[in-house]
Amino acid sequence: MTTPNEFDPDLLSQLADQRTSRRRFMTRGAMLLGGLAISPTILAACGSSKSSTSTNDAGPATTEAVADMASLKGTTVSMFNWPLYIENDDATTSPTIKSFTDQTGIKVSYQSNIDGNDSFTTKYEPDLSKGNGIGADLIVLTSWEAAQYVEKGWVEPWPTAYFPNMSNVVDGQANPEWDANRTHSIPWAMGQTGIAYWPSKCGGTLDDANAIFDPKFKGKVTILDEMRDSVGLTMLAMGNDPSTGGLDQENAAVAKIAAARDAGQFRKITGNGYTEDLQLGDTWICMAWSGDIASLKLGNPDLADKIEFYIPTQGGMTFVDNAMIPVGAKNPHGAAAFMNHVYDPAVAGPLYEAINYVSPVKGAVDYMSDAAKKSIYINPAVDSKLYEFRLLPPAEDQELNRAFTAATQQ
Amino acid sequence: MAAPTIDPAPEILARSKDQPAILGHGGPPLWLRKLGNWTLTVVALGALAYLFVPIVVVVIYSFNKPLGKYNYVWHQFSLEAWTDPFKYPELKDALLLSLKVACVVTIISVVLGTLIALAMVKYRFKAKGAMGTILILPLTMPEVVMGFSLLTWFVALSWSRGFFTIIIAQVMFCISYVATTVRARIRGFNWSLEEAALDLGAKPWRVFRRVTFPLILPGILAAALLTFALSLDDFIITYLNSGLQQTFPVEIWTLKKSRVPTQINVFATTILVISVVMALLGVWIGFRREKKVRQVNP
Amino acid sequence: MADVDETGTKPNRWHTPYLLLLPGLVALIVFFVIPLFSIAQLSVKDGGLGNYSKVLTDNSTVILRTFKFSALATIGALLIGFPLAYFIAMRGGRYKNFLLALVVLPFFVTYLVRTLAWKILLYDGGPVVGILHSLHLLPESQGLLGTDYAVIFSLMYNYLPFMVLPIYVSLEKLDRRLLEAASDLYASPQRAFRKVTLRMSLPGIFAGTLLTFIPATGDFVNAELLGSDKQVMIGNIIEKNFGKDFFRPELSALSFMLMALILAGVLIYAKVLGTEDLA
Repeated sequence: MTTPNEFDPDLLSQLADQRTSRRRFMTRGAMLLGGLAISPTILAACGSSKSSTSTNDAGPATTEAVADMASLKGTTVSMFNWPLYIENDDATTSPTIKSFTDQTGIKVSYQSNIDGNDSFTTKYEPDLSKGNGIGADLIVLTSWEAAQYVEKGWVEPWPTAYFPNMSNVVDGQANPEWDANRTHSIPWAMGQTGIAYWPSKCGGTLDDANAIFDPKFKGKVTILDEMRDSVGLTMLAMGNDPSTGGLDQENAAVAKIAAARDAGQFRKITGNGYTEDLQLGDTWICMAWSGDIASLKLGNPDLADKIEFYIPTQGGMTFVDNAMIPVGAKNPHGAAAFMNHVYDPAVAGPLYEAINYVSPVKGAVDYMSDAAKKSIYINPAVDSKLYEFRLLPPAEDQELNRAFTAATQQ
Repeated sequence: MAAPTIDPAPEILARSKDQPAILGHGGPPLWLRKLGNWTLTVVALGALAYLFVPIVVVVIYSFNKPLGKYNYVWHQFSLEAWTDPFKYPELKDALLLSLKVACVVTIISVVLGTLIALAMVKYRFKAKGAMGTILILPLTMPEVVMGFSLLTWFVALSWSRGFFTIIIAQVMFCISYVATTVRARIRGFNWSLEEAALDLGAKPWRVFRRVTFPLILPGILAAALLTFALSLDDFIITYLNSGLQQTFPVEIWTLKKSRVPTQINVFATTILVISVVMALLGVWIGFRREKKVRQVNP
Repeated sequence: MADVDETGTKPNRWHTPYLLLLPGLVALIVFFVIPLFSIAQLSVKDGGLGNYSKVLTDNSTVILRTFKFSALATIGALLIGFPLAYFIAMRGGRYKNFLLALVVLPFFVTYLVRTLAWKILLYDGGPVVGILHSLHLLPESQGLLGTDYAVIFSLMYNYLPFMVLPIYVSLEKLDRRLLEAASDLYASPQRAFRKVTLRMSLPGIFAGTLLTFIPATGDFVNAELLGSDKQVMIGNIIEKNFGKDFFRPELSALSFMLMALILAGVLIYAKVLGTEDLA
């Protein structure tokens, strides 16, 4: 039925003979490229001028005193988020969204289509830098990426009249250095990176970060391909502080990872896929994200007491995924209204209990069940040491990224 | 390059059709030859089985109800995925997008590719060799290189990735497939039919519509079907040049981190069945046309 | 076997072929040829040709591994594909088209889903691993996923039809009477096979080899789904890092190198076919 591409012997022999014509053709192409090289610079120039104005005329006036909720009835808020950040990982059955729509008449179009900070930025950079909308009123990105968006003026400030509950944000997250007083962002979820393991296979209870490097578990360990998590935990294992560290300590951690990998310590270096092997017991111990382990245990009751998760005594890593309004959003007021709804402790409690992540909303814990209050995923002990990786300037970000990639992708 | 045109006696021709290609004069004894033949059959059928096993697995696992979110291990038989195929709206939307993209890409590629094929077959001109080179390159280039280079170009132009960039990316390699397929089909045609029509006073456009087009139509249809299938299935080039909207394969890829639902197998099986039915239909129609032609021209 | 050309030689119609070519050609130039120049330009950004030696040394493991995998997959495809093509062409008889359709049929299932099926088949605790364990071909503690074998095996699978079809086309053109003639000239069956069949199928074998080897070197799907970080191929490096802006010069260098090697292969193929008198 289908004809495969049939190689034409005549054509190819002509190909071999006509070297001169090809060369001529290539020079013509080079000239064309030269001409076309000019156009991107013109386009880029147009783009950059637009983005610098967008920080000044940031959509709705932020000085509105009163929220006009009535005018928002019937509108839609479009949100891009990560997987597993809404109840049941299914927006159509989410009580949070349903209660929001019932109360305000605003519909929510929710998509779990963010699967990486870098890939998200790659897709939307052209539109964002030109100030064009990307089809979303709310996006959620991890702190280091969010910081760049704020700096580049790719996000709009909150219309504070619509978001009074913003003041409910937990103290520790109220004023990060990259977004003073949270004018442009607000945390959606906070997770922890710790260690998950099978006590039965690892010979008992563990609490040390160095367990990852223990030769006893050679070949049965997995670490994460997320640089800040793997390097961060390794720094903690080496007795360093990832939130202040410095390039030397960070490179030392990368070197330690590379050495362990060469020695065959790691079964795999993965992204989210690590739960598969952990579930099957092929992995005995691994770096893990709190939310994944929580869902794993809930989804597989027979594994619930066979797999444990801990924040090492040296400390664990924490990450914060932040919601923001991207430039060109069509419904920034609705977006703020939705975040306002989420930041109501009565709503936040059940939501974060369902998704098994730490809530950034003060008082949300009071609205959770007793079981949730005891859960280290949702309500970690106040004294557990959790560190956010230090904010890297671009040059150091690149260097560390390169080093980590070289250590883990060869 | 053409086979020698000596015509042997009909009996010899008839004999060589029935007997195995290798006739014996000396060489190994019969039992060894029979063993060789048997081994060949086993290897060949084994290769076919090798090709088929995964397809069978795909179909079977569309009836699986996995324990977790990944449809990798058989757990229990269930028709759930078949009764609720659109459970995941992102999959349904992705499939619709794939179909839309495939239609647009097919139309554009067939038009552009057929024009190129016509030019290459009917005319002799100076740039023919260079054109041939350009045509062959997309067929011999790894998709990741094509996709990535196009991405860097889009980034340089500051074009946002979306529907149009997907179309452009796919058309780029489909043009070559169309041009090569149509060209192969229409080579050796008797173009003097066109000349005859022109001599009889028909205008060029009429000649094209009534003479040329019907002649090349089978080739075009074959190329169109091929392009549609290629577009639907394309992953690497599309993935590197997608934006918000994701085609079916791209959606599977990004979704696989969180889940691999049975619905994917349902969609794949459905596409398989529809394609097979269409192919069979095409063959059947071909047979009937041939019968008709043979009735007229015995 | 040159293409017909009578109609084009009329003086007032010289422009017709160019007009016909124009839309497609412009599209190809703007969106295919120029992007290739674009990555060439990007690959020498901030470092010139030195970028290439840096990229080569940094990624030497991955590059060598990619070619090893592709070569093994191609050889495997040839060893399986040639007998299959031979069987269909020579023994297929009435069922030739049906068998060919069977070869092409797997392609009607999306590439990703086909490869996921191998993940199901090769899963630890699945049937294949179970059989290998009981036959002691595989140590009990080891599985197949995350090994070189799984990736090579799956690469071989996905590109097998690309090997079979060109060989089939070559073999199908083979005139039986040539074999008859060979046997009449007292050639043994092996000799006839070597001197006639094999030689006549060489263009198909070359085409199949190229069509298998080239896409395999750029593949990342098989390595990602069935391999671990120890099976990373060039395509995976590109896929994992194409989002990072500062990485693109390196990735461009990698892509360009891959492309150059492929072009060299295609040219060699053209030379071989251009000068030899193979049907």
